[in-house]
Amino acid sequence: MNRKHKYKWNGYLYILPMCLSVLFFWYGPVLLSAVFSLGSYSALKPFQFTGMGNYTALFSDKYFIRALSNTFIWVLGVVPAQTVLAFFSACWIAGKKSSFLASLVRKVMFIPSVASVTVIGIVCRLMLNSPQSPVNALLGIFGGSASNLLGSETTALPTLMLIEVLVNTGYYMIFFLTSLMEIPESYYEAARMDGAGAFRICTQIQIPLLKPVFIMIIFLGLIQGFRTFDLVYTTTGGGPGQASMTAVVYLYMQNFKFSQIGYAMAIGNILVVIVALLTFLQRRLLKNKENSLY
Amino acid sequence: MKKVCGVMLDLFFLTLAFIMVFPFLYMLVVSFQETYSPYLLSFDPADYSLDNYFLLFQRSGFFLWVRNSFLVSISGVLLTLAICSTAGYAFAKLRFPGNDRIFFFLFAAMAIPFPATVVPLWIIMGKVGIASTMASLILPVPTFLGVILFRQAFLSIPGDMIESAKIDGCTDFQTFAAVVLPLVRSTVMSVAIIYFARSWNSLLWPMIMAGGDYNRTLPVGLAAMQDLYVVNYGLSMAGAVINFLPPFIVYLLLQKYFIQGVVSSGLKA
Repeated sequence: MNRKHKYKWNGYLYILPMCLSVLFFWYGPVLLSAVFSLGSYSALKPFQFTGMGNYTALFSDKYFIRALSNTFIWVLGVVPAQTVLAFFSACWIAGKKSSFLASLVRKVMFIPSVASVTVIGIVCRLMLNSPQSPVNALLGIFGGSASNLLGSETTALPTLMLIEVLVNTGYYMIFFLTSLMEIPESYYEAARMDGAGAFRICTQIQIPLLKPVFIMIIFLGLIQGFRTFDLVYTTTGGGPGQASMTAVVYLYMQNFKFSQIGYAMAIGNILVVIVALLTFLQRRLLKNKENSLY
Repeated sequence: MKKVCGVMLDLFFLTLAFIMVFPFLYMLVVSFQETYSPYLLSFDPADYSLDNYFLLFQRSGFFLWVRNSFLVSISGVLLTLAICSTAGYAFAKLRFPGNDRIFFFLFAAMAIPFPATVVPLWIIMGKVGIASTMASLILPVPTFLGVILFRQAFLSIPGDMIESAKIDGCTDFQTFAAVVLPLVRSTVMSVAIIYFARSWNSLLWPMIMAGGDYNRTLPVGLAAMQDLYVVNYGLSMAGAVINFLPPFIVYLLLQKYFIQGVVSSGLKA
C-alpha cells in the first residue's frame, strides 16, 4: 500500500486559522519591532534610522545587563523549584487517591492560577512589606521578618521568585497529575511485590513514565520565566534600585515611561533570540520524537 | 516511622495550600470592611457589611465593564477552542509536508514577550481599523499553548480508533468532531479554564485598547477607579473579589472534568 506517501492536504486548512493568528499577532509585531529597533522612535521625534545603534548601546547599558542577569537568575531559580514542587505535589495527591484532604489541596493549589496576578501582587506588596503586616508577626514567631522583604535589595528578587513559584506550582501540578493518574495500578502492585519502597517506585516508575511531561513543563516554565512581567511590575516595579528588575519590566519602562520605543524593541528582539536559541538547543538535545512535545 | 513521615508530608502540603490561598482569604476579609489601612483589620462581625460592594454596583459603567469582560472572555474561549483543537488535531494526526517545521515555527512565537508586541500591534490595529473594538480584544486570545495541549492529548489516542472511523466512512472532519474530540474532554475543559482566566484577568492589552468607559473590561475599570478615590482598601478588595469570582466559578464548575476525563478515557476500549 502506498500509504506512506499519502498526504493529507486538508491539514493545512485545519492549521490555517492558528497560523494566521500567530502571524498577525506575534510575528507581524516582532518584524515591525525589529524595524523600529534599528532606529530611535519616541513620542517626541519621528523615526530616525540609526542602524545597530540601539543594540550596541544595550550591551554597555549596565541597567540592562543587570536586568538580563536578574532574568537568568529568575529562570534558573523558579523553573526547577516549581517543576519539582509541582511534581511532588502531584505525587502526593495521586497517592492519596480519593481522600478529602487531597481533593481539597488539589483544588486550592490551582486557585492562584485562576486569579489576576496583578491582585496577587498588590496583596503581597501589602503583606510582605511592612512591620505592621500580620505576616510579619507570624514570621516573627519563627525568627524571620517580613518588614521589608520587597524593599530590601537582597531579599526583593528572591521573595518575588518565591511568590512566583507558589503561584505557578498549582498550575503545573495539574499537568503532572493528569499524567500520573494514567499509570495503571498494576505497575505499582508489581513493584510492591518486588519489594520496592516509595522512593524506588517514584524514581523507577513515575519519573521515567512522566519524562515527556517534565520536558513540556520545563519548557513552558522557561518561556514563561523569560517573559515574566506582571508580578514584578505590580509589586516592586523593578526596585529597589535595580534589584528586582527583569528584562521585560525594563522593556516596558523604556517603552512607556521613557518613550524610547526603538530601544525597547531592541530589548524585545534580544529576548526573542535568547529564548529561540534555548528552544533550539533543547530540541537538539532531546531528539525524542515519539511521545514528546515536538 | 512511616506514619510520622506521612503525617509530616500531609502537614507540609496543607501548609503549602494554605499559603497559596491566604491572599484570597485576606481579600475576602478586607472587602467586607471600610478601612483606610491595610493592616487595621477588624474581626468584629458588627463591622462587616456589603457596603463596599454596593458602592461598586453604583459606580456608573460597572455593569457595562462586567458585561464586556464576559463578552470578551466567553468569545475568546470559544474561539480558542475552535482554532486550537483543529490545529492540534492536524499536528497530531494528519500528515502533511512541513508538519513538524510549521509546528516548531509557531511554537517559537511563544518566546516573544507580550510587552514587546504591544506598541507595534497597537499601530497595526489602528491601521487595520479595528483598534478599540471588541474584536481587538477577542482575536488575540488564542495562543499556541492551546495547540500544544490539544496536540499532546490527541497524540495519545491510538491510531486504530481513527482507522476504524475511516473504515466506517467518516470524513476527516467527522472523525475529528464526532469521534476524537469527545475523547479529549478533559483537555477541552482545561483549555477553557486556562483561557477564560487569562482573558478575564488580562490588564495591559484591554487598557491600551479601551476607548472609553463603554469599552472597558472589568479589570481595566477597577484599575481606573483606583486613582479617583482616597484609598479605601475595603473598596479595592471588594473590586478584586468581584473580579476573582467569575474565573473561580468557571473553575469550580469545570474542574471535576480535569480528572474525570482522564480516568474515563483510560478505561475506554
